[in-house]
Amino acid sequence: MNDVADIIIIGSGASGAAAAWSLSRDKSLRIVCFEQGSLSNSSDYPTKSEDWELSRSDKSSFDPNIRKNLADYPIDDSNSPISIANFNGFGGSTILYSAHFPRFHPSDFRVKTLDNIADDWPLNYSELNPFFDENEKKMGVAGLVGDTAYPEYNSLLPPVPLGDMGKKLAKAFNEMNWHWWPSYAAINTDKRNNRANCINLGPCNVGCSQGAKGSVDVTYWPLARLNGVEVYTESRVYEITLDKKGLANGVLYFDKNGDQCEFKAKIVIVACSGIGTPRLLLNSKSEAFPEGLLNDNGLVGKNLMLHPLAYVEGVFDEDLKSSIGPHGCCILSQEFYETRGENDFSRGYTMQILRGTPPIETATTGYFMRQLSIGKDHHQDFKKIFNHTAGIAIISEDLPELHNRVELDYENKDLFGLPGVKIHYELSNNTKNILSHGIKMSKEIFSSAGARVTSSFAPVKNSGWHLMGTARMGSNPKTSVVNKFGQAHQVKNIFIVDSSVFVTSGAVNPVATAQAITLFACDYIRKNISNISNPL
Amino acid sequence: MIETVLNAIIPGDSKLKMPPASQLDFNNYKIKHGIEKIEIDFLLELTKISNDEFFKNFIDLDDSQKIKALNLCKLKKVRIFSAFLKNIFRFYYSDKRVLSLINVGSSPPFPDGNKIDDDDDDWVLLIPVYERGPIFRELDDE
Repeated sequence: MNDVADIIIIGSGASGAAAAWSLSRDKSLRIVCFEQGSLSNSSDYPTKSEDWELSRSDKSSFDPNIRKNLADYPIDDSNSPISIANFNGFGGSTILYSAHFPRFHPSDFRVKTLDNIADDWPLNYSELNPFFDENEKKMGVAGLVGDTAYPEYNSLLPPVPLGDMGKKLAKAFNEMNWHWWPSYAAINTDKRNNRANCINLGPCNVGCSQGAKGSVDVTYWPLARLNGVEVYTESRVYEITLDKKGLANGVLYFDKNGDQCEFKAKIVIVACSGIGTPRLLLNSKSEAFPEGLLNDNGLVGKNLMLHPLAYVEGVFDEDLKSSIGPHGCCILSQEFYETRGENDFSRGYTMQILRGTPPIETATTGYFMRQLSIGKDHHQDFKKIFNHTAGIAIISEDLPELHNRVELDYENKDLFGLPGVKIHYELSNNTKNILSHGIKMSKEIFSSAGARVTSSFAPVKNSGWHLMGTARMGSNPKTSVVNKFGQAHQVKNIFIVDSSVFVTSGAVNPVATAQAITLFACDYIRKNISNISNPL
Repeated sequence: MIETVLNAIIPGDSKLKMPPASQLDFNNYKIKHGIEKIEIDFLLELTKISNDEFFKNFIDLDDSQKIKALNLCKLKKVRIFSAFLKNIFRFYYSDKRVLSLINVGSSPPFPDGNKIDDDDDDWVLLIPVYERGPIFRELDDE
């Protein structure tokens, strides 16, 4: 087949998949997606076996430096208090995510105007609203309409069940007169779209063997492939190429056999995450962009935001069967989401209630947190904590700072000799104050619920899932990499559609917003395709 | 010696009907997960501590001395101790028999999943939240 596409999409994760589906509705287009990882097969997920928990420290680890799949590249995060979490494979990090799926809020797009910090986004909540709706339908999002922390949602699948632990904490939030709401979860709570419903297996984070979790391999991709999108897995793009006119004209990649290949395209869409996207751009050096593609203003890789987390765990006297159910989805509170004058920080945080830990994690953390002994009392101690615990993850709003950044690491290379990445990241004082406040408030909630707090700490080391800001959007080409449609200021037929383009981070899991932005960008591409495309 | 160590860390509990770790197939786990070196490093250290502190082999210590020796090992060689103990917990709490005894819910391959009861009044709980009204910030330009 002729190696020329109308559109190349790099990356098959949350945003790459949404882009593939959105654009493939025009069936006259040849669309090719390149994914450096391999296909995921749900029948191979570790939840088929009793020892599934072991895989979390092995092949299903979310730490690429532990997992060391062929598709992974070295990430040196020794200069960061938070390590990077991701998954390189068909479906991207949605294969291992917990599917907690809240949207950004209207204020998240206007932090400069409202709070005089960071920058406003060049788009707003209203513009994204129809794309939020569309995305939630495609991903199958459960929840409850009427949340007082948001403008109205149109419709959602029935919420995931709270369980005894969720109800207990909900009552505690009520006692404090604080906001709480059932989680927004990309989890099929009813059979829908040829996918089974959730049966509360629990370990969503090693891949959902039931197919109820809305990872994009089971939501967008079947539709996109039905529309004719071609997917090249185990094919690692290492450079986006430009022609003499300064337009992108394709990509260079290593195929399954390790051979260097070229694929031409009229439009190139980048969706490799807040780490993978700057890595590819910085590696795409040319005469026009000697410091890396689109990096004429030095902003590619800068302003990395990671949503530092704090964690507080409480133990209840009673057995609440808390380990049963989708681990990351139960209830959330956004009582402290917005800026308040009385606080010593700007912006705020979400409290995400996590269900109890599974047996191995209960025993291990229980021992090292001095809640569980070895020897004759071991089983009695275990019985007192297993199914008795709940966690509160405090997701802080991270603000953009130039010194927090991703750089190429030429000392640590991947299998094909391509540079890995080095992360430089520091917590700001604002973030530290947010996390301290979140811990204090979480302790108050557990106290109100009658639980003992057994551990609390920040930042959580292994929590760098939310990778944002490294190719930010904006109206001014001097202070941003792409415009509101994800279109590169300097090369009009390159689009970046993942969370790299975020101007600020909000204080919620970013997938819902990243995908809405992708659909918004692709809507623009479809309407303007003849003006955007390189005629080649 | 490994059986004695396993029993010292996780002995049986007749009241809760929990088996001692030594009754389960540690050898199979060890080979499957390639932890021979972790085991040897730990046993060497534990033997040294038992001899240095109690002038006996670990297997000849009484129950409280065994726990003391294990705790000393944790203090003196935390990495070696932690690596071994984590594997003991992984081994024990991934055993089918143990999982069925600790009320872990449906086990893989989860034919029926787990039931979480929904009450009709779950959402009545939200009335106080709803009555407070919107808490998000409205913007003039939207």
